[in-house]
Amino acid sequence: MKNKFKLLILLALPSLASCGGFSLDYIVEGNKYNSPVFTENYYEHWDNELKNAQEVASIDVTDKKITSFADVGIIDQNILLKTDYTLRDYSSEYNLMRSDQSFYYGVQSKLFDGEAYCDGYYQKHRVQTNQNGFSVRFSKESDELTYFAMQFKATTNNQLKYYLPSDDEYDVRNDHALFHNSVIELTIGLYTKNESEIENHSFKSEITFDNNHTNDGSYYVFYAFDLKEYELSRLVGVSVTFDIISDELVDYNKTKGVDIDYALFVYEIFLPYTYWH
Amino acid sequence: MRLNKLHKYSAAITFLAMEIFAVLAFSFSGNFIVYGAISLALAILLILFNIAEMKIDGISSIAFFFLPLFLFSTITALSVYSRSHAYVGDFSTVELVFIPIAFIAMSFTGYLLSVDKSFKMSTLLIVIYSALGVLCLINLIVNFVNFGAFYTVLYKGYHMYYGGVMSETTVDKMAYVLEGLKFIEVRMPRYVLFPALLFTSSIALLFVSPKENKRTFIIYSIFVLVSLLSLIFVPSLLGLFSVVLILLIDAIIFIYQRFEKIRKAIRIVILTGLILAGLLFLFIILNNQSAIPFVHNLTSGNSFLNRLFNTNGIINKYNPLVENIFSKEKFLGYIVDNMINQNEVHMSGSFLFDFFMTSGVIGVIAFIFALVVGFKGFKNYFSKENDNLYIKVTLLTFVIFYLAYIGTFNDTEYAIYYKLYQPVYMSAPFLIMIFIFSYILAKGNVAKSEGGKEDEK
Repeated sequence: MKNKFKLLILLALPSLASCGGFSLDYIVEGNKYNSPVFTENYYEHWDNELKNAQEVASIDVTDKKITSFADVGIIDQNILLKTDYTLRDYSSEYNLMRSDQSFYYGVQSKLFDGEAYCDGYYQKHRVQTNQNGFSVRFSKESDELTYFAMQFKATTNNQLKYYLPSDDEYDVRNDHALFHNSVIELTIGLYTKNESEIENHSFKSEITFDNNHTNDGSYYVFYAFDLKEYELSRLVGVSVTFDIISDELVDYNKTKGVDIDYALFVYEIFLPYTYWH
Repeated sequence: MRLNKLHKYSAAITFLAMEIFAVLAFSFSGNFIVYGAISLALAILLILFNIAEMKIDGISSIAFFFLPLFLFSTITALSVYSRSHAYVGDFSTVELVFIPIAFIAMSFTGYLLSVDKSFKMSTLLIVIYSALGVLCLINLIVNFVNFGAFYTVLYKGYHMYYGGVMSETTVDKMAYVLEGLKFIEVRMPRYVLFPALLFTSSIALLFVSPKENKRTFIIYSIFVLVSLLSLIFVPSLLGLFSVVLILLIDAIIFIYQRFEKIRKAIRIVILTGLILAGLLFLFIILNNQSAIPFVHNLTSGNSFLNRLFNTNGIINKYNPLVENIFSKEKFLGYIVDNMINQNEVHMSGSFLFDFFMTSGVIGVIAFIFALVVGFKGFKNYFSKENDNLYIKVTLLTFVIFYLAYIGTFNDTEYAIYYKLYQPVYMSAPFLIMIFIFSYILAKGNVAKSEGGKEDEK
């Protein structure tokens, strides 16, 4: 009996020592995703299960989507219950961290912290993504979804040389000169659990907006679409991908043989009125 | 008369005292009110149940320790520093009120348990170390679950994201510990404190014979094993330093006790070291007084002295805390952390320097006086045949190491993501230290015949 007890103790610690890893998903090496170098900040994490999930629906919400380009007044009365809300009020009330503690962990927590704007310190509150996109796997499941909302802006890498379409000038690095028109097809993947299988519901929409580097609030895009009619529940993950349909600066430089990095800065993802368990 | 009869129930109260010390050693709450309240309740009960055993000369034995400590705690509770931090919500006013209350209660508890015939220090030490051991094991397991073994080496330079913010502290300098009823991320000094305190039990192994007192030897071996496992699986330089320091303390005490011929030499070396440290401490203080500029001129005029006293990473932490402390504004403690004025001064991590800010010059003098009285008490305690020698050396090691640790690596804001502000005098191990001092002072004062040697065999 005594020997068995000793054996149990001897086995217990190595077993426990090898079971670690819960918080390892939330750590990053050095200054990753927080670099002053544009191209070092791409968040390209894809959860394997989400990546291999079967697409069960591909829905075009271009006509149903709501977009707002200013942090003033209401965004849309259909979505926001309080009509005198600014986006700052909205994000501080409906951020996902307020709904569950599980959203506090990892790099992806920047998407749920209620900070919907750049604070001027590199990547502090945003996730930078390219056309490869990224996914976020939740540790809990939601009940029925009401609507999806996201705050983002688009930008190009101004650390490299490029041509300016207006005067055909090369090597322009003046932020203000970068103001131009951009059209993308944004795909939001919502991953739900059906028994043990994970299913992907893709919501696509074409969005036209101003692409600019300044921090003026009017160049942030608040994008949302209603989900009530789809009766989705047991959400376990979300992905964001996009394709560039047209971009004045990117397209013009392509004709000159110059590739410009184009990124979305995703500041916040909202799934209001959902409970997590 | 009725109260006199209560002392026959003192065994039950002694058991309660053990439980309360287990709670304290477990650092069960981040709220000082809890520690203060249970200390007060215990002291009141002990007074009621041991009133027949209380004697004036017994109480007077702890007076020279207790009175300066009371002065220190009262000044601390009333200081500008405490009131400012209470104002911004770092702790409540009630917590401040409980500082002198808890200190008085713990001093009385030390005295009252020393006269309680049903109380055995050997049992209490096992209770305290067991609580520390359980805490260390829980902390170790939660670190296994979160990061795995040896993560401080494997993930050196990694940062953790929480709440949308990248941690300033890298993963190799953080650990999970149980704080109240939740696990929180803390800086390494907080994690190391508990296994290091547990490792102070190692000295008992040098004084307990494995043949004559097998059970005690095994129990203490388990304590040492648990502390070492906690420090090996979460390796850190601080942990290594703590173990080496404790082993050094163990070795000095062991040699001092076992080799009578070199006792005098050791005493001279220690005394010289203490005098030099005291002079250095005094010189650092004088070097930062603008009223006596010649000292600063002397140090800044010589490149070696300038490097030593003005421009190195360690002294830069201490100097701002003792700057012009004799001025009217700073004499009784002052404000820090940019709360009201713009002169940002951070805690240095050393209680000797931090107390100038929290308690002022009078507070520091009172506390040092209490410490001197306390250590002098150890001399009497060792000369009396009251407790077994291994208990005496373990208590001494615990106190010396704890003071050395909070004299160098104390972390007031140890939680990484939660707002926790805990000056060292509002922590549980500090109260245990006060208890140990008052216990040994009272025990050292008890006549040989009254004390009675514990039968450990």
